[in-house]
Amino acid sequence: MGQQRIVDETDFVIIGTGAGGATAARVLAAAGHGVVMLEEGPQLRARARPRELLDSMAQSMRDFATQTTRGGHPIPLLQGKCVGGSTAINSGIIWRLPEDVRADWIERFGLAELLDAQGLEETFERLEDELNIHETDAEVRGGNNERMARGAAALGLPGRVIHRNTKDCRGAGRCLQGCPNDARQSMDVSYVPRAIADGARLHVRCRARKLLLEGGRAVGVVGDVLGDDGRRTVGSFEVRARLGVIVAAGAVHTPVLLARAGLRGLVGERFQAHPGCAVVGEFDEPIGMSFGATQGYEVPMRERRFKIEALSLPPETLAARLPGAGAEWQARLAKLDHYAQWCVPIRMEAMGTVRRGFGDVPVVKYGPTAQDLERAREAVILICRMMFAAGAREVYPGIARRPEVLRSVADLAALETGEVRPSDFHMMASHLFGTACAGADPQQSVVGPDLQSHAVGGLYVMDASVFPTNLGVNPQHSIMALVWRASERLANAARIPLRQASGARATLRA
Amino acid sequence: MIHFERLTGFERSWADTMVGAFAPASGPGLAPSLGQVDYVGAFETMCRSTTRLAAVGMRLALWLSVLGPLLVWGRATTALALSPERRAALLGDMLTHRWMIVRELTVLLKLCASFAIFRVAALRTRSHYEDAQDARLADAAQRTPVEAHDELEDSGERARVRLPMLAQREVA
Ligand SMILES: Cc1cc2nc3c(=O)[nH]c(=O)nc-3n(C[C@H](O)[C@H](O)[C@H](O)COP(=O)(O)OP(=O)(O)OC[C@H]3O[C@@H](n4cnc5c(N)ncnc54)[C@H](O)[C@@H]3O)c2cc1C
Ligand code: SF4
Repeated sequence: MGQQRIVDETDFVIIGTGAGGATAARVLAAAGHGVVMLEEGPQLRARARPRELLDSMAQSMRDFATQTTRGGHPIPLLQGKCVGGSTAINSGIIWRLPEDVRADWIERFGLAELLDAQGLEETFERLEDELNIHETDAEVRGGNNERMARGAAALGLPGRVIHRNTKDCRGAGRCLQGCPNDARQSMDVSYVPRAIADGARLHVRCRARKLLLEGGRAVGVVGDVLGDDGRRTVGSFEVRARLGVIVAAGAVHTPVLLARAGLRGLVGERFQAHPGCAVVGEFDEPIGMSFGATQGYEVPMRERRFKIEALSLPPETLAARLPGAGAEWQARLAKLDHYAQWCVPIRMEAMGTVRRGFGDVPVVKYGPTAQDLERAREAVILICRMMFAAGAREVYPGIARRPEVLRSVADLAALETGEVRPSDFHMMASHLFGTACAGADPQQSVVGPDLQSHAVGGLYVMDASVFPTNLGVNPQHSIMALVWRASERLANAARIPLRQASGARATLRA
Repeated sequence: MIHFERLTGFERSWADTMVGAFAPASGPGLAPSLGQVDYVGAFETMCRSTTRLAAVGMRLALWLSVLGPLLVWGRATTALALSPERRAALLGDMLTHRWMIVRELTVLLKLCASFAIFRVAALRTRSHYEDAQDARLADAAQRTPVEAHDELEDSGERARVRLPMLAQREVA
C-alpha cells in the first residue's frame, strides 16, 4: 500500500485535542474561523472502550503510563493519548482557579488582563453551564466516596462532595478507562464534536513533528500519519494555517515542539506537577468500589498543600496495590469488594525541566524536595487515620521500608519517625504544568498574556504548559477558562466575519 | 530496529512461570486454574505499549526474578527450580527488598499479573469486585419497565448518534 499524504489548509491549526486544544477549537470555530485539529491518538467510541485495563490503557494512555521523570526515583506521568487528551480518561473533577493563585499570577507574571476577575467569573460560569458541572449526585456516590465522608466527619476534617462535569453519570466507576456511557463531558464528548458541528475538521493519528515558520511567523505544521497500532508511520501530513498555529500538546510534549522550532529561553523550564500517592484500606463489610463516581468526595487541605480524594480504581490496579504474593495476595484478591482507596495529589514546590531528547522523545527531570516528601508523609498518615476512623480493619500505607500492613492507629508511629526518601513512595503525576509559561515579561515567560509566543508571531500555546505555577487543585477547569479567554480575544482580533472562513480542503493521496 | 516486545521462546516460558507465580493454581483464595490466564500475552502487550526503556525494564524484571534466589537469598539456583510456594515467597521478598530497583521491577511483574488475571471474566466474578455494580444493575432492571431492559443490560454501553468526526480524506 502506498503512503498516505494529507494536505490541508485553514485559518487555525491546533495540535492536540485535550482540555486546551479542544476549548480553543470550540471558541474559534464558533466564531466562524476555519479550524483543523490534529490528534496523535485515536478516536475512541464509548462502545469500543474496553473494561479491562490492559486493553484500555494500551488504547488511550500515552506509553501505558510508563513515561516517567528521570533521576533516582522515576515518577510515572499519566497522560491521555486519544481524542479528548487527558480529559478522556480523567475523573471529571472540577475546581475553579484558586484566588490566591490568580493574585500571584497577576502580581508576579503580569496576567491581569487574562485573569480579570469579572471576565474569568463569566467564563467559568459559561463552562459550568456548557459542561454540566455539578455536585456528584447522591445516587451515584457509592461506597468508596461515602466511606471517605465518614472518615472525614469522624476527624472533623473539611470534606466536600466533588463537583464534576457529567450528564447522567451512572456510577460505572470506569472514568480511567474512558466513560462507557459518555456521561463525563470530556472534550471528546463535548467540545470536539461541537467544534466539528461548527465546521472544524479533525485528523486523528496525526503526530505533529515540526512547526513551519516563514518570515518569523508560524504558518503550519508537518508530521506523520500513524497506523492503527499508533506507532508505525504510514504517511505524512502538512496543514497550513493562515492566521495561527496553536500548540496544545500538553506540558510534556508542547515544549518539545517549541524547542524543535528553535524557541529558547524558558521553553521546557519551570516544569511543575501535583504528584501523589494512595492508601488502601480493608473493611469488614463490603465497600463496593465498582459502583459510584470514580472520584466523588474530597478533603481539601490547601494550607497544607495537599488534597485528599477518594479514588476508585479498576480491579487490576487495586490488586497490584495489595500487599504480598502467593497465598497472602490471593486471599486478598478473593474479596476485592472490601477495599477502599483514597489518594493525595500534593502541590509540590519542586521544579523540573522538559528537554528534547533523542528522536524528539521528551526527557523530564524532576524530583520532590525534602519538604515535599515530608508533606507526602503527613498526607499519608492523615489518610491512614481517616481510614481507621471510617472503620478499616487493615490499612496499607504504601511507604517502603515501613510496615506494609497497619492494624491500628498505634501502628502509625512507625510512619511518623525516620527519614523518608523519594523511593519510599509510589508516586504518580497527572497534573503537569509550566513548560511554556505565560507572562508579560519575555525574560520570565515563553508566551505573552494573549498566549502568543514572544519570539514567533502567529504561534500560540494553549494548554497546561502556560501555567506559571502549579495550583493545588485539579487543573482542567482553569486550563479551559484561560484558553477560552485567550481564544475569544484571538477570534475577535482576527476579525473574520462569522462563518466565512476557510474554504479549505483536506486531501489524502494514496 | 530492535523489537523489545518480542520475547524469545525461553523468555516466554519464564514469563508464564514467573508472572504466574504471584497467584499459583495451587493457592488459596483467588487461584486461577492452569492455563486459565494468558500471562505471556499480557507481558507482550505491556512491552508493546510502553516506552522502549520500560520494555527493557520489563525484560530485566523477568531475568531478575528468575535469578532471584541468587540475588535475594544468596542461593545458587534459579526461581524456575523452586516449588510454586517458594517462588511466591521469593517474589514477596523481592517486593519488600531494600534496593529500590528490585522492588520497582518486581512491582512491574505484579502489575502484569494483575492485568492478566482480571482479563478473565470468571476471575473478575470470583474476586467480587463487580458485586456492587452488578447489584445496582439488577436493582435498576427490576424497577425499569420491560422495554428499557435492553439498554440497561448493555451495562450502559448505549449506542449514540454522533456527528461524523473525521475530516473527509479524499483520494487525490
Ligand atoms: C488519569 C488522569 C486523571 C485526571 N483527573 C483530573 C480531574 O479529575 N480533574 C482535573 O481537573 N484534571 C484531571 N487530570 C488532569 C487534566 O486532565 C489535564 O491537566 C488536562 O487534560 C491537560 O490539558 P492539556 O490540554 O494541557 O493536555 P491534554 O489534555 O493531555 O491533551 C494533549 C493532547 O495532545 C496530543 N498530542 C501530544 N503531542 C502531540 C503531537 N505531537 N501531535 C498531535 N497531538 C499530540 C495528546 O495525544 C493529547 O490528546 C487528570 C489527568 C489524568 C491523566
Ligand atoms: S463514574 Fe462511570 S458513568 Fe460516571 S462518568 Fe465515570 S465512567 Fe462515566
